[in-house]
Amino acid sequence: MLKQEINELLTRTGPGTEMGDLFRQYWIPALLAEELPEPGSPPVRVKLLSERLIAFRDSAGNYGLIDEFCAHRGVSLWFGNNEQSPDEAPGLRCAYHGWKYDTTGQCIEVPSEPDNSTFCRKVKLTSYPLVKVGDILWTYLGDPDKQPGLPEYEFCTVPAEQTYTSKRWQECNWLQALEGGIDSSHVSWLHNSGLKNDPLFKGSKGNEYNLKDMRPFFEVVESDGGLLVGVRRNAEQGRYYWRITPWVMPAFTMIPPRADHPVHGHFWVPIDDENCWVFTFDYLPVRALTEAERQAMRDGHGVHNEYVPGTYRPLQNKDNDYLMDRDAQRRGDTFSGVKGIAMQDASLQESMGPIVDRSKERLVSADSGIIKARRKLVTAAVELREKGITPPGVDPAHHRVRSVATVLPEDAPFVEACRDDLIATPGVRQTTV
Amino acid sequence: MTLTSRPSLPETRQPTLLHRCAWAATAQEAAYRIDKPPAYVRTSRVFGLDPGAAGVVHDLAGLPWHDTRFLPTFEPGRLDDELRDADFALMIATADDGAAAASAIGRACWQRGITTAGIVLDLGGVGPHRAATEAVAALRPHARVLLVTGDRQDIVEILAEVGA
Repeated sequence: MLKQEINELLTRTGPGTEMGDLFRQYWIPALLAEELPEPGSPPVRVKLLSERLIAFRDSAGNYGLIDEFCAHRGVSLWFGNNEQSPDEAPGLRCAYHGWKYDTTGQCIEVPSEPDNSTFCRKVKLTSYPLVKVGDILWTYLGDPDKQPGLPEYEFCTVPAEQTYTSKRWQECNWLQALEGGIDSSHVSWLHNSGLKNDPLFKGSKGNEYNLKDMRPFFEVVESDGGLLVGVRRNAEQGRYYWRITPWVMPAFTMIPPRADHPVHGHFWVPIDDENCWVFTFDYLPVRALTEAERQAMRDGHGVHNEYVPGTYRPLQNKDNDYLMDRDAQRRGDTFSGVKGIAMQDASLQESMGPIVDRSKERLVSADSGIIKARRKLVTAAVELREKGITPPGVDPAHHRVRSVATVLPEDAPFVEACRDDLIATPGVRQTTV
Repeated sequence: MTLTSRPSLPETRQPTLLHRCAWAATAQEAAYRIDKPPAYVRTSRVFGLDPGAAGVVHDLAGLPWHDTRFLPTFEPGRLDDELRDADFALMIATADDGAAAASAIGRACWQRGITTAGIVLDLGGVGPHRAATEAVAALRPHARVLLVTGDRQDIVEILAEVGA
């Protein structure tokens, strides 16, 4: 059980909070690039770390992420006109009185002022950088003088034909969602049907090891950027099947691969303290995704999901009880009665409540990865605040990690045996079983 | 989305209205969770496997715990007594000379259905390039969970979290 004040520290990410300051050291996913597909696209409301923002792409193609509300009367710029006339300077014009802003938040026109007025130069909204890397538009909400290098996670640096990213709204605090990504011990239970049937999971020899050994052993080792969580199960005589999950602080996790299926993982991004975005990726280091694989992802298979049409809200959500199917549960088609790996996780994590009260939980030693991750987050947040120490995971070199699935001799230490496999190396296939 | 806009579902898939998920997951409803903690007793033993670990275990023993016994030095003749009624055994190593003790404790715990965990306290710093010390190899076969760390506060945290 966690002290209430530590739970508060870990779960609150708004401006001025310890964990909010920590998140503001990193580039984080803000939205999918598909949400601003072309110059002059309609602006998009974005809330991150409890800050309400508007993202837009001006007629010249520049990306901007600025305060959602006009400096004049506090109107939402979501109603604004992203002007596209070649005779006009690019910018987003407020729908109320026509104040106009560029992608840096600088006001460039106040129509009520005289033609030669310089007043607009004195008006500037808060703005943050917005940069496309892979399928994601990333932002950095911290001190501009400390802006780190851009993200180098492999899923967003491989060629476009080798990667696919989706996102979904999860209606709970970011930490209880992230902890599901670190906790490997639930997979053999909650997701057992997915291992057998999902087109992006099935057919792996590793699945057989997974399903035959329901009591795995765990090893947790610190890495430069966070943790490596190794889970070993019995394989053939004298050998272990290892699944190694990297966590890069603060919110990146990668699932170990299965056979030649695409490798997947998540970025867990706080919207506010009671909601988060789950960015979900699938990629391959050395080949393009097939159309069948890409279609399976669009259809919500693997770790992706189906949507309420026109939104990033999952089709199965708490308003329809996640389309719970007790007959499927009774038949063993699904363990929880909820279809799909992503929503199996989300339904249970949302059931904990908006922010789970960790002072009431009772952990076991198999939860050591979660315990250690919380400690690393707390330590990093405190050391940042008190000593100004840059936390793990800021350095882009820490992003170049891979998950691994492999079979090793019983006496082989997993970190040393897989040292090269755990590093993202361009042109080298993932290590998988 | 309201219930009236739900997809048409067979009768067996209808939710129970009073506790449907959207309402049950609210902060207001969380206030109605039973406040009395569930019955939960963990009977733990903490073993030091080498002289360096003995000092760590001795220091831990000075903190307030529930039903936990601390054994800085491994005494094979007392193992049966020490493990009686235990359901969790944590082994702490700082070096590789505790392999025989780890093996004896691990086997005894296995026979009694006692969960084992191991912590390798690497006071020289840890990382993916140094993690596989001899101490890890000695503990691996006997610890269901193994944590390699340079921070002795991790031990306190894990013991506290598992209810020691």
